[in-house]
Amino acid sequence: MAGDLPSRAGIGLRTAHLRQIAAAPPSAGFLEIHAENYMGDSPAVALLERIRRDNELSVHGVGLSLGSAEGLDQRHLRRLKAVADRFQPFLLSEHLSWSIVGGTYLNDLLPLPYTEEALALVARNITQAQETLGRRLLIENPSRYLRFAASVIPEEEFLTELVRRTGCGLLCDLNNLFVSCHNTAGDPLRWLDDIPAEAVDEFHVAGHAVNEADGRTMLIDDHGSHVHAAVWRLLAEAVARIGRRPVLVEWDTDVPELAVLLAEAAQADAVLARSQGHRHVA
Amino acid sequence: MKTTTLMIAAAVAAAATSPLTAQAQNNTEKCYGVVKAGKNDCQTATSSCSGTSKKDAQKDAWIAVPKGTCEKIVGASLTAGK
Amino acid sequence: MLLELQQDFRRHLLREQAVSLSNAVLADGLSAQARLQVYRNHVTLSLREALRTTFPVTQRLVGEEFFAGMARQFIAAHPPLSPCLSEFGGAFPDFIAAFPPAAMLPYLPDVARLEWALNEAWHSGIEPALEAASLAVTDPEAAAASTLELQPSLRLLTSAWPVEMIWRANQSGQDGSGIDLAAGGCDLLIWREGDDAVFRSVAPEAAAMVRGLQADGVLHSAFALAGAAEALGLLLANGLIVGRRAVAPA
Repeated sequence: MAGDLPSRAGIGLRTAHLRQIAAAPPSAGFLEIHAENYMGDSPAVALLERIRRDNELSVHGVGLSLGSAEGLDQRHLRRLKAVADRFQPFLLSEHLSWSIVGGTYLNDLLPLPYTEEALALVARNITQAQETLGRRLLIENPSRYLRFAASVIPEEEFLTELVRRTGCGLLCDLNNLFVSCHNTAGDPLRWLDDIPAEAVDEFHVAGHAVNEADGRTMLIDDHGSHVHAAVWRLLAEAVARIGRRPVLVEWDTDVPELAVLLAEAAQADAVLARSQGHRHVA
Repeated sequence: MKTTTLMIAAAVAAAATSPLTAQAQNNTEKCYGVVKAGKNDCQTATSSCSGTSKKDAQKDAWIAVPKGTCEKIVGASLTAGK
Repeated sequence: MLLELQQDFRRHLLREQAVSLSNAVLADGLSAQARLQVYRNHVTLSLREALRTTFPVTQRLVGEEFFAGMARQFIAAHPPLSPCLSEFGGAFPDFIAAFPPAAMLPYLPDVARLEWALNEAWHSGIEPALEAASLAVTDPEAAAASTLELQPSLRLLTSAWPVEMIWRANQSGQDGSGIDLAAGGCDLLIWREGDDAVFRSVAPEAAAMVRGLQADGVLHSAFALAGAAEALGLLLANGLIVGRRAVAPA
């Protein structure tokens, strides 16, 4: 499944770097775009077509809202399909979260209670999305700042069950995992032990911010700085358990110069290279 | 009707052949380069894909007085809300 | 169950009404309120940032603090309908026009309309332009009954205020001074040209013609005006006419 993927580090393609990257392909294994930025007909879309000729591309959706109780926004699903069809990414991913209710888009990856009801609903939405897209989706674990009283299923089990029911893959975001476990008293290593390694097709890493609230620290997944040492260590742990996979470095707030992003990607490549890879026994 | 029709035809012919090109392309204001794209990719912290560490500092008692370059515009009143 | 929770979440995030999610959220050593606030901060600040990106001149005119307050009320009243944030803010100019604290700045809604038109134009595709020569006709009747199709990016803004001057005076490097409202109104054509959105002021006759063409596309209803030939030349020279079709006789 993950056999012919470039198990290398890639970088998020940000608008500030579009022209530079169009002029000369960067030394990154692949580029990842946010699908919602390329659903219109702007000059950025034309630039991306040029960039695509020289670079591997993955498409990351941020607005499909797979956890919407009211079902999927069909128009948005079709627009996502158009982006995927146009740019032929080697990976297509979305989130285990919701952002649309009553026709309103709330522009955040909002948390789901991990219940049987939510599991059935998300599985149904993923199945429908995959049928329309004609592709397998990777589902990313979100950063969480709270837990619901109603949650009865551990997140790793919830994701495992989604894989079983829908055939989807997983995008394992190690920064999100670190942030969520800090904020909601979870155990990241157990989480990594418990997800199905063969379903994981991509890793994400990014920086996070440390906020104070009521005298305690809350980690915020702001993608606004270097990847923290603890998250690099978690990536190494993940590679050891799961195997080598493409690693994306995300940096979205206070976007630095391209060279800084590429140096971060080189560091991810070094983690992949050091790893013995795949200790996981099925 | 006939006169209007002829006038239009003449105008179309004139427009189609007149060397207005150079003149018409002057005087445009350009705006927006490619760098302005990408509202979802958190170029300015607008994406849903990452969190916001800044706090919304808005107070409930908001003093609603514009304080920008509008103060430099002549002929506008900043006090009389009509 | 899930639907009710999501509806409550929305009400909380947009401050539509006070809802208590304290029972639904575990405190876990930190108040439920503090945890929910992380989401509320992001929704408010990220959508405000999207508006700032689309309406930079509007913000400069009123200042950051006023803009933030106005944006916050707009976001609660008109949250996005689409996950594509470049499509968020179309209702902002009308909202500003009806926003009492901004009533003292009567030109502000039109400045915002110009910025929205530039945003829409920039996100529009470019169709191959019609060659001038293919407009040259031999049959006057056919010419009069033609319909013209315009570039999808083309927008027209007619304002009673000098919004072009206001916009220009508030670009980076300019300090916003030198504007006199007595300068009067303007008609602006906005479109996408290459990688940019552009606009220029045009004569009222040209504006009337474009308005006519936008309404029904038929040349003669748009064209019974003096100075329209020049306007047609302007459209042609800028590649803004993309097609011409003969209208079937009624």
